[in-house]
Formats: sequence, structure tokens, C-alpha cells
Amino acid sequence: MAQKERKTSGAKALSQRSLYVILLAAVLYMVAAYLNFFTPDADASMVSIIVSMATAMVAVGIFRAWQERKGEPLADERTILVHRIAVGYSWWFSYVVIAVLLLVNQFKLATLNVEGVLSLVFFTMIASLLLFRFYISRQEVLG
Amino acid sequence: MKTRIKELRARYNMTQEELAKKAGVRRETIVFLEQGKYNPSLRLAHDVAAALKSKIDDVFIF
Repeated sequence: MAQKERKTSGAKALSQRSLYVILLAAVLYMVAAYLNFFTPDADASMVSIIVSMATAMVAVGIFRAWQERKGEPLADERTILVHRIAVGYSWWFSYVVIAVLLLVNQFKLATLNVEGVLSLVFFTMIASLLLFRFYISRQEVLG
Repeated sequence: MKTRIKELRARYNMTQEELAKKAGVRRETIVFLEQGKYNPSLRLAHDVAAALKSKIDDVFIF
């Protein structure tokens, strides 16, 4: 019985999480609109980055809500384990990317700017997490 | 770890999806369990065994 209650509350929490993601995206849209219409000095690229982030968050929120509607749990002990392992690998991969960028900068192999490096690290972290998660979820023995 | 999940599922005429719902996990976890490619926690082993109306020892072969 306690087991059932735990699972039910877990499913509700996940639904709330999807809602929060969409609400946060709405806040980001409002921030972007404020910067665009009421702040003349605002950087246009910053506005487009915020809008892109918000759009991605809406997409994730809708996808999660759709999965929840199917009645399948979004995460169970195996997927949580896969995620944890993937986060570890992703962290190391991002660390290596940063080290490479540091060497590139040190030996002047390319011209780097802050925006470019931050964007690269930002996308490397999320992309590598998704890739590692996909790869590890197809591995046989996890733990 | 070898299991008798497939055999017990067939006995109770249960699909992987139904078993997954009863055990509160994703269907792919049941697939990996059946193939012996995932070592479940004690709680999951208990839930799967309960869903198959069996004891843990009858479902999972240690």
C-alpha cells in the first residue's frame, strides 16, 4: 500500500515538474519580450538566445507531458541509474573539451571569445549528456 | 542474472507492458530484466515478483 502511494505521488511530482518547465519558459519569453521592446540597449543575440532556450523548454515540457499521458513512468530505477552514469561521463567529456579549449587558447591555434566558448561548453554539456544517456541505456549490465 | 519472468508472464497471460505498469517501471526495464541484462534492486525484484504472484527466489535465479 505504501508502495502504491509512493508511486502515485511520484507521478504527480513529475507532472508538476513538466508544468514548472513550461511556466519557466513563459517567464523567459516575458523577459525576452521586455528586453526586446522596452530596453533599447539590449543585445539582440541575447534576446534570441533566451527565446531559443524558452522554446526548447516548452518542447521538453510538452514531450514530458505527452509521455506522462501514456501512463508510463518517465523514470524508474534503471533510467535514473543510466542518467547518473551519463552525467558522470558528460562531466568528464565537458572537462576534456574545456582543457582542449584552454590549450587552443594557450598556443593561439584559434581566436576564441567568451560568447563562443560559453556557447560551446553549454551545448557540449547537454548534447554529451543526451548522447551518453542514449548509449548507456543500450548497455547490458549497469550495476 | 537469469530470470523466469518471461515464463511467469506467459503463465499469467501478461504482456511486458502490463507487468511494467504493475511493477511501476518502464517497459524497457522489463525487457532488460527478462534478457538478464539488468540486476534489479531488492525493491524492484520484490515488485516484479509480487506482480507475478511469486516469491523473489522463484522469479530471479541467483
